[in-house]
Amino acid sequence: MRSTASTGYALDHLTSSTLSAESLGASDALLLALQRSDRAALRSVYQQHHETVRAFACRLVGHEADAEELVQETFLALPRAMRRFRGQCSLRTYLLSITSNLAKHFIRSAARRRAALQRYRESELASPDSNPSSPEREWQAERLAEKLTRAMDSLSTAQRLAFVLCEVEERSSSEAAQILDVPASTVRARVTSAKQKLRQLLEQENLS
Amino acid sequence: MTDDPLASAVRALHQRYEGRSDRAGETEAKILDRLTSPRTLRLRWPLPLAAFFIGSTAWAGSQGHLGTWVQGALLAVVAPAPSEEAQGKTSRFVRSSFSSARERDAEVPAFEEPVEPSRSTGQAGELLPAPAGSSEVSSNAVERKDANGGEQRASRSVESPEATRETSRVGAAPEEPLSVYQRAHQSHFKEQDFAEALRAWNLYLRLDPGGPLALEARYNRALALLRLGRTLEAREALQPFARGEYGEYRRREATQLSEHIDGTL
Repeated sequence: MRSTASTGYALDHLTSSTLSAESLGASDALLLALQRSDRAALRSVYQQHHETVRAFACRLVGHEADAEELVQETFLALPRAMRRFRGQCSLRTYLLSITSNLAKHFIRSAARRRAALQRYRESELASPDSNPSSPEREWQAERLAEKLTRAMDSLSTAQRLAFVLCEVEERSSSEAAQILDVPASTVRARVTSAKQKLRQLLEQENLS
Repeated sequence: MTDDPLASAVRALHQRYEGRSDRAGETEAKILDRLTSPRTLRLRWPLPLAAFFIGSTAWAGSQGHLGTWVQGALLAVVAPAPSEEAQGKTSRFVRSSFSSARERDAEVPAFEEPVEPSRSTGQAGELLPAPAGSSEVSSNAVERKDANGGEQRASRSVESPEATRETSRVGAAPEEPLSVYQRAHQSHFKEQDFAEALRAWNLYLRLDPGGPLALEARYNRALALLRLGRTLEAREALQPFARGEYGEYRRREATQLSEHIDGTL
């Protein structure tokens, strides 16, 4: 029989991946409490990460009310998702991954709303008089953001996620790959094709 | 120089949603309101158990075995070892239901013999016995426990004052299960003091055998046994996970560890 010391050493590669909460980079007790749907734990995580999750949701969905619902669903899904969490990334990255997985319904809902309101919104934004109190620069920026959001509605969800994460949120392709659970090369390919398509759409809109 | 319209639009979209939202507090309140309340969670286990009892009692009554069955079912749920008759009648139900977990939970104290060799602080190395004889002693201890469990426990209590203090500490001031779990976790994963971790895992499982962290504690206890060279006990502790009695929870890891143990025996 092998000595116990060598058995213990040899088992490191088996037990290290199975040790609970070992490499999570966050309070072990907090993470375990999340698994139990502990309210105080969830409140703590919300207060730490809600701004990041909300900003991503808003940039992705392009509609604040829908994005706020997506934020809610993300944090409500967290306790169950924590049972599958094995320390493969930071808690923040894991939250963004949950958001990405839940986003499809909200993106579609917001895109439908935008399509229905497009003409009305364009007429509102096209007339500077309709925003007499807004500085010209802010109004221009608002218009650009709206244009881009509308253009992103023509992307697939996968392209949209990759584009928002890498270009709008300025995350690395490796972090985006972790969030989306796809290879980094796939992320880069999606971003490239998204940018090509968006450039074409924005040029067409400028010409029109 | 013409700015890239896409880059300008990207900057605009990025800046549009920078900073705090007015809705943050409202969303937080909605999340906490929608979270399942602890009271609802506590109802999850008793309700199916109650349904099991009601249905089975009706069946047993119709068969004329109500008295015997009730005794057997109670033993299966509460007592450390169900009677043979009860085991025979209820084993199929018990093993596939929550009651089987309770039965195993009740067996935990039998493993919690204070068998750690007496040591003073700083001699943690002695807790990782190199010679195979130590494991054999442990396995023999497991085999003998049914017959002489009391004697073994008594004699070993003399040898390990830490265990005696642990017992008296438990008796004098009961700890909160979560704090015991945290202590076990700290000892196991931070301090790598597996003997102390094992004591704490065992204590946690006594305090909260059906709690939400019990499964993980049970699994970690098996890891601690393994680290202490008590391989046969570790293997036994891993078997429910490997057999899938807790679904897929830790099943793969437990199977791999069991296979590794088998390879070393």
